[in-house]
Amino acid sequence: MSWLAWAAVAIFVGSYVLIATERVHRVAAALGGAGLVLALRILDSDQAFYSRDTGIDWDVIFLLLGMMLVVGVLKRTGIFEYLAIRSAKLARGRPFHVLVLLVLVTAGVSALLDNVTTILLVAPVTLLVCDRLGVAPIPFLIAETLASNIGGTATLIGDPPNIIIASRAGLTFTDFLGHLLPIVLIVLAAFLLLSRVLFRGAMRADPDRTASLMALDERETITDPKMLTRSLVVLGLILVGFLLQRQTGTAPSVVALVGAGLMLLLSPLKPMDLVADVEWETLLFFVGLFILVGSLVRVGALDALARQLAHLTGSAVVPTLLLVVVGSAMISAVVDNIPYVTAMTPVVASLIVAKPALGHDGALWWALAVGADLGGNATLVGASANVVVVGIAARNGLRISFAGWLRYGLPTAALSITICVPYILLRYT
Amino acid sequence: MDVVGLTDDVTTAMRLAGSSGLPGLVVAVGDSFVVVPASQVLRVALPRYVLDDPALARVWDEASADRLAERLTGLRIADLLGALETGTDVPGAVVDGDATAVEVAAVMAAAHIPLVVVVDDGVLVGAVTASSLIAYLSR
Repeated sequence: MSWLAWAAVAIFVGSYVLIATERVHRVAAALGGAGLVLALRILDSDQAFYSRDTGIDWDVIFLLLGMMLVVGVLKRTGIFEYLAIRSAKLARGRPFHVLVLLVLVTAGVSALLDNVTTILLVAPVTLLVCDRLGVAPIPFLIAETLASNIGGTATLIGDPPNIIIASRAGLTFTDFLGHLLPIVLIVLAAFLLLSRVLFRGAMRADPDRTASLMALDERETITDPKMLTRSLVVLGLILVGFLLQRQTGTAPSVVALVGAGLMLLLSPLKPMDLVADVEWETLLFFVGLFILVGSLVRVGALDALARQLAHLTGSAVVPTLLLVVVGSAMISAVVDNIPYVTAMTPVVASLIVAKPALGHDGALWWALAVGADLGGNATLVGASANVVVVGIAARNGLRISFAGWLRYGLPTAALSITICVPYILLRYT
Repeated sequence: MDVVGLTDDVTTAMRLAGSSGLPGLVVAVGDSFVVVPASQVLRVALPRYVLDDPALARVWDEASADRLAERLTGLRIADLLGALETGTDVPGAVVDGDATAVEVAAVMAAAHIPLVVVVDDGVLVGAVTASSLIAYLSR
């Protein structure tokens, strides 16, 4: 390799280590690395900003931006708090039934919103429900976070790695529903059975406290029914737009942006308040990552990695699928799955070009998605939602330790991958 | 004017402030003073998850609301400052005896407090409340 190639690899690895170890803020690490790549002319501005192969994936950036604006309106309607309290009341305060319904609500919401937003919405209301029931909230918070990572796997918009995979592989919303939703439903059912065992010690409640839960008036969470109705109609139109992507040829990013524009027009909220809600740091993080990974593509480093992987597995379909599912799960368990998937998508694309059977029905892409999405459940640092729920718990005087998370997360991730491996092998080989 | 110390009980201090007509607590921290507005004492009475998601406050029933005050029982002023993440080394909302009305107003506005303490030559001489300052300015 040339010195420029080595420089690109060194910058990427250095940035990745800084992101993984959190020695500096992840945005500073990604943008700093991207700045070095541009300063050393490993990429020029055309390659960084306009190339589909080596540049920033604007479809991903604008899909995320559009959905962040949509969520900014939706979360102010109170609908998620309504659903959570209603579910807990439907379960009549029986702790395990409450947990099951909250897990199902969280997984369902997470399929439409990103996992971190889902947890930010569901965790406070869970603390309220647990407070009323007099049960320990930590098992509920952990179960919901695990469920959000599982539910988010089901759709194109449920988890950022899926958005990256969809854009790079040209997969549609319906492709995700057809290929990932079935296995996610199975994993979710298995997780609920596992929860019965994992959380059995935490499901004791005082029956006298049920009345306190039933006294909550969930209808009070909906402050503006007109805004709720309009928001749900726009959300419905966005979903229809996603579902008809193949027929209309309209990219999800365009659908999300049009939907966001409609939301802003129809909402009584101030646009600047909603714009302030956009996670700009996440978008900038993506910008930096795309340039970093683009530099590796440009110098041929990821092609070389793909050749090494092909050599390792002999380009055989079954070992390659196994390697990608299990390897992705293990890596995502310990580092953020967003940079991992950003770097892996060109590798997967190269592997498919070299061996088209790996791309049959999107096989290797689905292997990457389930491995990266579900592996993150294993440890406290494996997914952004895990870190966020630990922060919410701490603010409420509850401590979730690394080992405490591992007790629930590792069996869940192991079970999920154990289910996904035969699914991937049976369906795609 | 009653000044409370770090080891004093919060509920007793609030009762004292109420009887003095002050909109907050004046806490002596070493040689300085910290002002804790009454609204910030309410922050500690509320569960954190309600502050994170204000929509949850609307579902609260009155019977449970009555029990919120129990959260302040046994709480010391030092615990209150800790819960509010107000460091005890934070300079107090203090002005000296020859401060102008505008200077007092600027301190209140910058620190978001309805009360400032007046200290002259190290001696506490009194306090100015936002309502009395507004009355003075609009006389």
